[in-house]
Parts: sequence; structure tokens; C-alpha cells
Amino acid sequence: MRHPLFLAAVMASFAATALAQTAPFDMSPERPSGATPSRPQEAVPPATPQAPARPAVRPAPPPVQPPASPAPPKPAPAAPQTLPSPARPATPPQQPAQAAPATTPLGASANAEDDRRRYILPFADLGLSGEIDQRQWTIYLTPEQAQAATALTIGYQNAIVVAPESSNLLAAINNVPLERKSIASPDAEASASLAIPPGTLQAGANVITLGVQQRHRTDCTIESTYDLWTDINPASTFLSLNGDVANSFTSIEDIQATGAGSDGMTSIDIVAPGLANPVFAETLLRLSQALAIRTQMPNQRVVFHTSVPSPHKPGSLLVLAGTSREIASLMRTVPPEVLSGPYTGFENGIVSGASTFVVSGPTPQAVQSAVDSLLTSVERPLGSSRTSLSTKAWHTPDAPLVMSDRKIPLSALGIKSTEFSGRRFRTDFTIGVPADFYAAAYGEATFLLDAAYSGAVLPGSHIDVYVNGNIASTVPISNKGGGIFRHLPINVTLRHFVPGANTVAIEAVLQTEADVACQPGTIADQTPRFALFDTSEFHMPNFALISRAPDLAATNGVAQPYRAGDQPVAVFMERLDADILSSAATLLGRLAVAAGHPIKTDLVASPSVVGERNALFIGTLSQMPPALITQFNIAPASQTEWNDRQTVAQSGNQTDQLFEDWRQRVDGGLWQGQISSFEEWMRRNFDISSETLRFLPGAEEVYAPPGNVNFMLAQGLSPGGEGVWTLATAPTSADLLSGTSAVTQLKRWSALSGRIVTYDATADKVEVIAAEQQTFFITRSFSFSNWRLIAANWLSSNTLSYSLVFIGFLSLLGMVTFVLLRRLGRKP
Amino acid sequence: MTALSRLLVKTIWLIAMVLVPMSVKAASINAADWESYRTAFLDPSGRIIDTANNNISHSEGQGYGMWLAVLADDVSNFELIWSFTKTELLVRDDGLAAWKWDPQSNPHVSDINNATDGDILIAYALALAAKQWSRRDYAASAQAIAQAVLDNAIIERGGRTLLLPATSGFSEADRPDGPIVNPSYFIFEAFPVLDELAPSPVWERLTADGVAAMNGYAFGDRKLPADWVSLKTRARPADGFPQEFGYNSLRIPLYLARAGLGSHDLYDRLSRGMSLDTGNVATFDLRSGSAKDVLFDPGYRVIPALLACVSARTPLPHDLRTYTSTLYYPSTLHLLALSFVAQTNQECL
Repeated sequence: MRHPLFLAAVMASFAATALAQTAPFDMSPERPSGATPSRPQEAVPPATPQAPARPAVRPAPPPVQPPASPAPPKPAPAAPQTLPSPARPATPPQQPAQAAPATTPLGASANAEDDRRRYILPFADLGLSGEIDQRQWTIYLTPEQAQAATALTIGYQNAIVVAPESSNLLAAINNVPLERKSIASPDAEASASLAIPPGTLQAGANVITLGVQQRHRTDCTIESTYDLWTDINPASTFLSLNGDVANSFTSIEDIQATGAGSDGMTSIDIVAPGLANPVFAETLLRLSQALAIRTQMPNQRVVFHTSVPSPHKPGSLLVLAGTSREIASLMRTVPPEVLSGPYTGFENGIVSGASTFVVSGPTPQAVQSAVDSLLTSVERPLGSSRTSLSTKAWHTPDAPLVMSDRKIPLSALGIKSTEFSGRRFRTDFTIGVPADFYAAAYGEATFLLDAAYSGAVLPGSHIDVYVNGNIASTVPISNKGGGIFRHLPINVTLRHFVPGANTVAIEAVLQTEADVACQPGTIADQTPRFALFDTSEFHMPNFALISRAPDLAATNGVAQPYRAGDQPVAVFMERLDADILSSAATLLGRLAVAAGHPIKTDLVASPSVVGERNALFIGTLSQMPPALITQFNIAPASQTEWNDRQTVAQSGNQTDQLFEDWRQRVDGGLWQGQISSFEEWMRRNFDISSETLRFLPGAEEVYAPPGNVNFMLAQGLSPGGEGVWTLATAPTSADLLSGTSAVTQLKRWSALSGRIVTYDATADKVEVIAAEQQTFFITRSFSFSNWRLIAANWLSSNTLSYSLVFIGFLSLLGMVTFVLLRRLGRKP
Repeated sequence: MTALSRLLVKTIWLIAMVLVPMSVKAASINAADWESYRTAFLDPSGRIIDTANNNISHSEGQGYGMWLAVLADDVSNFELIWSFTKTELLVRDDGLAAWKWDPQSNPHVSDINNATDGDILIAYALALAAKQWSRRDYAASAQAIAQAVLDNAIIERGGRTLLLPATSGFSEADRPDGPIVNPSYFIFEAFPVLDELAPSPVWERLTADGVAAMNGYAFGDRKLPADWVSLKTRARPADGFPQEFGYNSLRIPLYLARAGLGSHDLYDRLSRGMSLDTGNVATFDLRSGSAKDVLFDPGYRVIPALLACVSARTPLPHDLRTYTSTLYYPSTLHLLALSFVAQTNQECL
């Protein structure tokens, strides 16, 4: 019997490698110290109201006086996640807010100032941290703006520990470095003005690079580098212009120059007097997509109006859309072209204070063809595929889209060879993967590192690779005397890759003897101790390609499944008013930017006619048909309870809280304690948890949004399982509008995943409900290697199934051997 | 600090106590007001009841109660509140107080975390009581708590001295946007007093950095501080908390004015930010600048009036000069404000 056993072992090892490549070593729980969101160990039992407690019961207040209720300043949170639970007061304020705005609306002078400022930051806030940090993005300028720009003004504030003599703001435009400014404003915001050499800026796209080099005043430790930060304020960071051209546009190309405003936001304001007309709604949605793809900013929203909004703010594009008769009342003079046929173009001086983009014509048909002409010029030819994801408005260069086995040098990813003299070097790049990427459970990419370190670097230093903020690999430097890495392979787990653009960061932590001694002058020492060469390569292997749903990560990254398909996407809106239409347009605009082309839509009047198509539903939850709600695995009771937020908040939270309390109280004795500590040990050391050891994906639980949630994005399948449905909903239409525009902003949008994403506006928090049961959709023609990879990933995520297959295989082998041995050989 | 120097400090403290006559003996809260407050909020067991919060008690309330008892020169009730605090809340190993005591739960202390302002208030009240009534035991207890605050809740980060709201849950190890501070936990007038008991240069730095930070906490259009502020980089309202000028923050101006540390500009900004056109004060959502809860209680309205008194000697409106017990929190603020005006700004009365 020895031979069959041996054979079985060989077969087993073959099966193990073929079927389920083991999950790569992953260190996600580990983070650099200083950024570790770990929980306090024992000090605080996650007991009750961990947040600023709010009165739950109030004494009967005097008739007129409201229950002015104290929040005893409560400390507590052991776990920040539980913090905002009792966020709302038990009773709403008894008087409507009558707050007088502290600041007056922008006056004429402020507007004039804005006309000479082209705000450049596409982020609501920008923090540059550590010893070296940099952002690079592209802005689009009109020819007049490029001519008029004289200086780049940067408003910033820095940590008090940043040493001004050895710390600098580093800015460049189109790779032309601007004057260096020392970072020296710890107490208040300062403004640094950097002259722009003539000819540096050009009409059209311009690459802005903004970075810092910072050193600590006194400390030489690695930890101290986490205390270094410089915050850039978008409201005081702009190109100074010598003419009033920041908000004046002339050609259609100038739509791209809309840019962002002083808060980093972009607003497309479409004034459409006929927006309530159902026939016109679809045209308006297509118009908003055509514009959103052109402005292509990371934080943009579409807002519909029936009259011209005032005042005009930087970073907003004012659009008049409608027939010539409809828009005539909104402007001083009607451009003559509008009366003769379809017309799109900028007009100056027809409404006060801003260039206005007019989309019009004498008849509704003419308006439609005007919109179509805008749309066709941004369509991608059928069948062509992208080679990169357009991220340049917030990260230049664009993220290359890797579809299969491919090596990309760092030079092609926007990273230059760099020498570094500090303690902690960090740089990052983006890599795009397609919507049907399916390799998170087993896949491994390789980073081929070309780098060098000097003799001063001590063993114990290391080089780490992070994917989307999670550590994915680490390479220790273990020998003294310096060294050079030539294509040193570093395996990088694909676990943290998501469809769409992914950020990969390289960090080198470098310690030297001099740092340990920390003599005066050590910190500012300019002798390089590390170099990263741009010949380093990122090698993505072949990975499994199969699409899944529900998966909001694929929707946020590349608008899967709405980007492709022959059938237009069915869009259902609760009703056609400005709020709902704006929400729909904002969401569609975001999807169009993610997809890289406009999304074909078909407006439907009722969810029942959607059938098995891919669809988007936009409206308040209470107005959605109950059958539709259950399709998303949302509790039907939420339809009535969500509005009445207090009850939901309290009952939901209290039950959870009570349950958690009881879990704490019931300690289960020694035996259970040991099991759980064993589980914890397994998870810590081998990344194996009870979740990993599963047969099949778990069941989907019915979800009821808690009361603190103001907006929800949910994805599910159509009843027949053919179409993917996405629902954007909120308790009220005002919440829907603010929720959509908040969630479509880059920092929140890129966090979407799972089947439900909720947004709590009060605490500004996005939460994800993971999808347990995903349906596979085949996206590629059959190939054996792809199916092998798919099977490997599935079995890696459902380990017990793998074991079962494995045992079955062994049993079969045993039986075959047994039968064979019975038949062959000598018989007694 | 070495044991020797601590001993030295204690000795100096005791000598000073004997030499200093009972100069602050006169009560700045009149007996009737204190009587009313006691009746409304002091349980016979010695706990101060937060009447708007399920009748719970907390270290902050105990601290306020003890402080008011000192201001009312009522040693027996001071002892009553202190003994409850000592036996029921000072149950932590580090000498700080558990923040919350709930009559409905069993055990009454279900969350062992502390609230640093509660600890400071208790220590401050003890220190004042020690001076006022020449009690060495109070001084010793105050010294122990002050030292525990120094050791556990005050940290140096990024070149600044910070007061953590509690020993756990708020540092950079606990939260991605940590450290978090609560500006309303800076009871500035207590710091020099605690410095006498537990001498450390940290108290002075905490005061200086705290006042500088208050000048910088101007969020939203209303330019108001937030209840919870992240100091990871530039100060901003902390994630996961409502971004509001809430009930916590209402007392920031009171503490600043009592310690005499704010500039007129700062008082003016806070006063305008927190007041509505109607003359009432409110809590505000900092992002939209809109009022959340409009507050009519004299205990809240007295705060901008107090600022007007200290900056421009504007007399307090008549309806704010008389004290009536309403709810625990505004009533406490009201008495603290009135006592301060009575002590230092008689012309406003």
C-alpha cells in the first residue's frame, strides 16, 4: 500500500498548487505606527453610550422654553465606530433655525477678486505629510487664462515641528520647477506666491505638481516623521491672473476649463425651465452626462434649476438649456443663432456676471439634436477598449488599465528616479484593473525593485509596499555596508486591489547610526541614503476575469455593469423635480466619468417595465414599490421607519448595544475563552478566521438603515437574476440630493464596495455592507486558463469546499487504486 | 519627579496654607441660590443628578457640585458630594474617576473610561476646598488626581501639549484622525492651581497651547469651535462626531472668561458666533452654519452676557441676574457665571 499513498500525496500536492494557490502572506493588520487605528485593549469595555450622551428622557419642559439639554461632555469611545450612535437629539429643536448667516453673500468685490483667481486644487483638503510627499494633477486653461497667469499662490499651514530651514514647498508647472519657498507657518495660514516664468503655461492641459520636502526640528526617529504635515487650503491656492478671465469662456473646449472652486468642488448648474416635462428629462440627463465627461472633475455635481442661480461661484458651469422660447425669459438678449437651429456655445453678457453655456434651438427637436452633437463628440467608438482610466484631473498620469500579464516601468507611471536623504521615503502610483478583476483571494503581483541604499543604512531598515493604504509586502534590509537591488522581486498580494484605479505606494524606512545619536545637523544632512530608480517595474500576472454582482466597487471604479451592453440602462425616478433629477444626473455623470463614455439611458415611468435590464432607481425610499425594496434585501419596514428616524435609531442601536453588552457579560467560561483566543491567534499569525473556513458564501441579511444614515446606495439583482439594479435612496429628496453629491465625491466614491453603502451626513461617515452572495456574470469568451484562475480564486475564498473537493479526489484515487490492485497481480 | 521634591512641595504647600489667612472665605454664591441648586440636583447620597440625561451622574457633575459647594462655602455638602465621588467613581487603578454612574444599571459604573474634565474639576474643587477650609486631606487627594491627569491624559504631540478627553479612545493609536481633543475640557483657571499641587512645566504649556489653539478653532461660516477637534494635522472637526458647536462647546467662553485668558477679539467672535439675532443662543451645525437647538435657558444666555460684561462692562440683563434651577447643565453654568461676576465684575450686576 505504500505506493498508492505516495501517489496520493503527489497528486494532492499537485491538486493543491493547481486548484488553490495559497493565500499570499498578508499583513493588513499591521500599519505603520502612528497611523494604526488599533483599539484600546482592556481599559474600556465597549459598554454603553460611548458618545457624547444626549438626553434620552427629558423632564417636562416649561411650556415655552425648549428642553435645553446638556450633553454632558462625554468621553469614552473605545471603538470609534460606535461613536456617532446617539447623534441626534431625542427631540428636534422646537424652533426652526433662524440663524443669520455670519458672513454676507459674496459681494461684488469678492466676485471681482474671484475673476482674477483660477483655483487649482481639485480636493476639498490636501494634506502633504512625512519627509517627502507630492501630488500631481492636470488642470485645463483657456488660452486667455494661460496668458494672464503670473503667479501660483499657495495658502498653507504646517506642523510646528517642521524645521523651516530644511523644509520646502516644491511646486512645478509642466515639469518646470518654480521658486522654492521655505515652509514656515505653524501658527496660522500663510500665503506663498511663486512667480510663473512666461511661457510655462499653455492653453489646454497643464500639469501641476505640488510637493513638500520636510524635516523635523529636533527629532531623528522614524516616528517623528509622522508628525510632519503641511495642509494646503484650496480657498487660497490659485493661479493669480492679471485680467478678469478666470470665469470667462468662449469655445466649447473651454467647458473643460471649469475646474474647481475655492472649496475644491465643481458644480454644473443647468437652468432648464422645462425640466418638469417628462419628454425633456431624458435629454437633460444626456446633456448632464456630456458636460460631466468634459469637465471630468473628481468632485462634481449636477444641479438643475428653473431660474438662474446667483451669485456665480468659481468652479461652476452655468448652462441654459431649453427651447429659445423657454430660455428667452432668463436672459437679456437671445443669441440669434438659437432662433435658427440647434445651437451650443458660450455666450457672455446674457446673464449677469458669468459666461453662460447655451444649449438651445427653436424646437424641442432642435434642442435634442444640439445635445446629441455634444454627446457624440465624447462617445467612444463601439468595440474599442480603454488602455487607461482617466484620473488625470486628480492624479497625473492616468492609471494604465492592466488587463492581463504586463510589466510597467515606474517611468511610465509618473515616477522619476529619486535620491533621498531623510528617514522615511514614500512615493506612489496608480494601476487600473478591469471591472471583472477576480483575484483578490489568491493572486500575487510582483514589484521588481531597482534601488540602492548607502553604507550608513542599518539592518532593520525595510522597504514596504502598500496597496490602497493596506500594507501588502515588506522587504527587510538585513546587511550592512550598502547595497544595490537590481530587479529584486517583491511579491505583492492582490487582496486589496479593487476594480478601477488602485494606489500602490512604496515606502522605505531607513535608520542610520547618525539618527540614533541625533547630533545637531543630522536631520538636515543632505547626504543621500536611498535611491529609487524609475527602471523598477510593476508586474501584474494573468488574473481571473469574471464579473460579479452586487459589487459597488466595480460600479465605482469603472461603472460596471452600466458602462457596456447593447441595451440602454433603464432609469426610474420617483418624480421629475429638480432634486430628484439633480441626484440622478449627478450619479449618472459620475458613472459616465468612471466608464469613460456616456451611458445610454432609457427613462421608464414605472419599475415594473424594467424587466431584466440593468437599471438605476432614484428616489426617496418611502415612494419606492415594496417589491423593489425586497429585491435589494432591504427591510420593507424601513420605508415608513426611516423617516421617523428617532425610533429606528434608538431601537436599532439599543438592540445592538444590548446584544453587545450581553456578549461581554456572558464570558462563556474557560473553554470558550480559549477557543476565541485560539481563533484570534490563528487570525493574527496565519490570517485564518472562521470566515475563511467556509463552505459556501453566507446568506444575505435583510438590512434596515439606521436612523443616523441620510443616504444609501444599494445594489441587487433583477428578479430573474439577469440585470444588475442600483438604488440611490434617502428619507427625503433633500437628503437624496445632498447624499448623492457627497457620495459621488472622489474620497467617498472610491471607498464604495459591497452591496450597500450608507452615508451619515452628520458625522460624515460612509459605511459598507459587504455582499455575501454574489452572482457571477461571464464577461469573456471561454478559455481554460481563465477558468482555472476563477476556480482557484473561488476555492481560495471558500476553503472548506476546496477541502471537500480535495478529499473527494483522494477518495476517488484510493478507490481506483484499490480496484486496480484487486484486479492485477497474483491472487492467493 | 522624585519623591523628595514631591515631599518638598507638599511641605511648602502646607506652610503656605497655614500662613495664608482665610481670605477667600466669603461665599460668591448666595445661600438661597445654592439651596435651590442643591434641592434640584443633589441626591441625599451625594451625587449630582443630570436631570436631562436619564438622571445619571458623572464625574463632571460631581466636580461641578464640589466646586459650587466651595463657592457657596458649604463644607458639609462638599464632603457629601466628595465622599460619593470617592467611593463610587474613583474606582480606577490610575487614580482618575470613571466618567459615568447610572442608577438604572448594575453595576452602576459600566464604562470604566474617564472624562478628563471631570477629573480636573474634582481636583480643582478639592484644591480650592483645601485652601478655603485648611484641609490637608483634600489637598492630598487633589494632588493625587492632578498627578494622575499629568501622567495619563496630557501628551506632547507635534510640538504641542494636548489634553486628551479620556485615557483611552482618543489618541492617534486609537483613531485614524487622532489625537482628538475637546476644547471645552480646558478649565484654564484650574491649571495654575493644580500646578501648585503637582508642579510641572506641562501645566503652563497646556495653558499657552490651549489658548493659542482656541484662537485657531474657528470652523465654518460662524467661526466657532467644534465639540471634538482632530489635531492630526491642521485642527478640524473630528470624524465620526457631529460637526457641531454643541452643548459641550457652550462653556468654552465661560472658562476663558473666568480665567481671564481670552482676547476681546476672541470673546467677540465667540459671542457673535453663538448668538442668534433674537438674542438667544444656539448650538450650530458647523458645515451649514445653521442653528440646531435654539436655547432659551438663562444658563446658556448668560454666557454671551458674561462676555459682554468682561469685554465692555455691559451690565447683565436683569432676567439673567436672578438664578432659578432649571436643568442640571445650564443651571450649573448659570451659577458659575453669576459667581464669577459677583467676585470680579460687581459693576455688571
